[in-house]
Amino acid sequence: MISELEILKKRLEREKKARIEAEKILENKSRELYENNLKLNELNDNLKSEIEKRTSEIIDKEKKYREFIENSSDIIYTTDEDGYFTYINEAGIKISGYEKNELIGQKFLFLIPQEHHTTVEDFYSLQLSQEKKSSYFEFPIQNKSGSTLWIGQTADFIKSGSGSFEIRAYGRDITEKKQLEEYINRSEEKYRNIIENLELGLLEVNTEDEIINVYPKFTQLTGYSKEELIGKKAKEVLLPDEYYDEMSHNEKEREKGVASVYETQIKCKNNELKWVIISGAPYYDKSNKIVGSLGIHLDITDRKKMETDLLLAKEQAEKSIQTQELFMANMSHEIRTPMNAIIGMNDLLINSDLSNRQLNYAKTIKSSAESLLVIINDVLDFSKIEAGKLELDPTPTSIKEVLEKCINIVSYKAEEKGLPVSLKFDNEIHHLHLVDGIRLNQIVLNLLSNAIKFTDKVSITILCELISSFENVQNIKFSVKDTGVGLSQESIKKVFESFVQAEGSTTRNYGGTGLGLSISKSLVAQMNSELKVESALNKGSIFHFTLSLKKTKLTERLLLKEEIEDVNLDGLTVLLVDDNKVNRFMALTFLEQKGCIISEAENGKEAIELISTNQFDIILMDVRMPVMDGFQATKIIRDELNLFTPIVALTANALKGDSDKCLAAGMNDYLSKPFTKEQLFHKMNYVVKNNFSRRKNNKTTSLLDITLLENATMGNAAFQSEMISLLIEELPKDIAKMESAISEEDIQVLALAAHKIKPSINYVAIKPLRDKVREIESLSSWDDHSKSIGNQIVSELKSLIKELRKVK
Amino acid sequence: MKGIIFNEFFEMTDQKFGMELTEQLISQSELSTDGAYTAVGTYPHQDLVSLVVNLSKIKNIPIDDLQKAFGVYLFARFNYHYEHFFENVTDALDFLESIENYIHIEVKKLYPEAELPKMNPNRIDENTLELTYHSEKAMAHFALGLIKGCLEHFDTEAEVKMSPVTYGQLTDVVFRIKRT
Repeated sequence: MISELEILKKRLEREKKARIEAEKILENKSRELYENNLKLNELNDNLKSEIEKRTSEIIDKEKKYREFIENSSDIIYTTDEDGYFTYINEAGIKISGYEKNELIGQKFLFLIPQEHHTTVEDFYSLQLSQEKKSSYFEFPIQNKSGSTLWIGQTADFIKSGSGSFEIRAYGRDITEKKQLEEYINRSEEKYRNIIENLELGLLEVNTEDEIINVYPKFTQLTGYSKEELIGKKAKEVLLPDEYYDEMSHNEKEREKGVASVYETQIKCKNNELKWVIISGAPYYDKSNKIVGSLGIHLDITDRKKMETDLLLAKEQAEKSIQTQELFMANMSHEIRTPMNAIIGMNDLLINSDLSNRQLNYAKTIKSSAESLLVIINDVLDFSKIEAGKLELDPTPTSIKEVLEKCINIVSYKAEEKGLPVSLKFDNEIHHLHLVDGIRLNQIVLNLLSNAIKFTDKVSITILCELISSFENVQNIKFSVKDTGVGLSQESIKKVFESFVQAEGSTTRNYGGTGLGLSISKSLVAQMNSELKVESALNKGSIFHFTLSLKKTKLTERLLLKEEIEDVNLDGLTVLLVDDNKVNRFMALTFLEQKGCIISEAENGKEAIELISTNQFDIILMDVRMPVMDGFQATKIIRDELNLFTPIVALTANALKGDSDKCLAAGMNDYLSKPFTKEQLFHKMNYVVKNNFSRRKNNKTTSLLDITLLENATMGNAAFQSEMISLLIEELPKDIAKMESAISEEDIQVLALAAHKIKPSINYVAIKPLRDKVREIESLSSWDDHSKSIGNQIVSELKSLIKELRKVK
Repeated sequence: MKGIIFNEFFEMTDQKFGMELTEQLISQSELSTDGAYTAVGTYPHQDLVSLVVNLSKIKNIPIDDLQKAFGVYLFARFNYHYEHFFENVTDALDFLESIENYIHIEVKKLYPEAELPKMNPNRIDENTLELTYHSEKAMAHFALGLIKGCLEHFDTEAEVKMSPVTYGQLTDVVFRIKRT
């Protein structure tokens, strides 16, 4: 049994042990606590400095960001969820013009003009309802000074923890951009309007020719709706087959970037064809690649119709002019034929045995008839001038002779009035110039006639002065001076007008058509000069003009002048062909006086019959005759009978072109009715002599005529010789070409060769050969005729070369 | 195991069997500290097992009953030592429900090294609570004693059903406490 004391001792022992244990635990705990405390303090200190460091960093960062935001050129601001400004940066203040304190606490709508509130509010409500975090919108604001600016704004909705949110917005002044946009829009709108109002149908196609856009005017033009065209191939729907090739060509051009304008027809929905002008241009994407083309279509159907109508009208008008010309020719013929008879028969009458009284009558008839002829010529000339049909025919001419002849013509009248007409001729003037002598004669004669008409006493003078002289050209002033009634300043202005005479009474007092000066003025103008007048009332008048004329050398033709007085036609065999008995009788009478042996024919057919069986030295051939006219007869004589008897046309057709026709038909020369017997003798003498001399020289008819070459070279022999050498060298090549063309029956090659040699041939060949070349040139199909004419040319050209060699 | 458990165990043997038996028990048991325990110290769980096993031999009382009796006794002592856990608590089931999620958490704050069993609560209804006991120390009857002690303390009549749930080598015990 353990005693109680023993137990207590044990327990005390245990208690001590437990207490020591507890104290140890406590001590450990205390140390632990202490150490933990130390650690805690240390951590606390670290934390503090860390917090300070972080805080200063945050402050720095915030400062930086704030500066960044403040200095931004964009507007940056925040609002609360109701849109009240909570912050706005410097740019916002600057752009709005308001102070910061004026804005903070204001709603941001405050800056937006009233009329835009709804739009802006609606936009942001929508963003909110769709829970969009960020959005962009453009709207105008009104700054403090009242100007409107456009702002492009990005707004972010930032949710805070408490469920409310903040709006952060970044705005930029886009006024300029907006204005530019508006400008572009307006400009686009303007051009669209213009184009739409221009009645131009616009069509856009891609590179596959598929229609991608159609403008309203184009749908009106074609009748198709936009929907019917979009996506279709433009050519398939709109283009008639016959324009495919042209269109394809234009498309290829467009692919190269070339814009083009062309006319074509397009098919409308109702199958009607319309004419359009398409102006097509490619258009490009950003990388400058062609992505399609834009065609602008202008409806020219009406214009086309008008064009056709106009063409028709023009043809009609031309036909009418032709009719008029024909009428003129007919009238001319109809008047000249009896005039010829009157003047001719009257000449015969004057030369017959008459009493003084009868002679006086006959002379009156002569002067009246001549006056009438002048008037008729004036009227015809005037018509030609009006129609622009009058052409000059410059030939080597002696000016002095022309002037003397004029004086000669008027001398009778002048003498009647007791007026001396004198010529003051500058002897430095070259003896021959290239000028249309007939027209020069007409001008001077007209001025002289006027002078005589309006001058009753003292004198009339023709002045011919050399103004300046160059190597080939002389400037010569022609003046006709009278001492007559003169002209008032007012009359001077009107004196050259058609149908106008100085006074209304002029016609009564002085006669005339009133066309003379107008015609003269036109003729001078055609000679590249101006007819001028210096005059004063009662002080007489000076009409003058200055011509710039080429000097030229003497030719065969003019040598004859000296021989006119004494033409010997004795024993000449003449065939006279004219359907008009009176004309025949007149010519017969003239020719018999000269000792000619005459045969008569009434038309071309009779003439050919006579020629076939008889030989003649010369044929005088009327042009217009029944049964067979002069042209036809000449052709047969030349081409079929192969006779080169000289033929002189006697024509009453005084229109330009007649002479050409005569020569083209193969006649040697022509004489315009009415003619005087001197003119007839002169012409016959010239033609016969010319022809005789050639025959004598060559036995066969010469093909050579170098008159034109001589004229063109102004008598430069060296140059002529060079030309001829060149021809001798070149022509055989062309002849070879023609021969091969004939054997291959290739009319085109033949025509081309003819075309090539034409200019050279013109200088050196006689007219019939020149004409053959011209004819070949104009042929377009091969037949027996072209073959025959081709062969003739080849053989004649060969002869021509031989002649050229001789000349050289 | 906290020293207070040992001290309360000796207090109980002193009271129930006399100091002489307590000394006999200490001398017969293999204890890490020769029976000297301080409340705030921590000691091997094996010491308590040894004491309970020896007491059962000496007094010929089943171990489970001893555990249960110690549980009932200890609950009253807890009430004495840790009054503040009982403030504002009037219902036994509420108190039991709060062991795992309140009392054990508070204990861990003071004694981080303490090894506490799990007492996961499942409140079925106002009058029924299930507690799932999980421990590696197989002292379910000790737990039962504590539950009984609690019910006594709150003067609560309740039926406590103990059902083991075995998984693997371990056995959990579910206490179903139903107010009667």
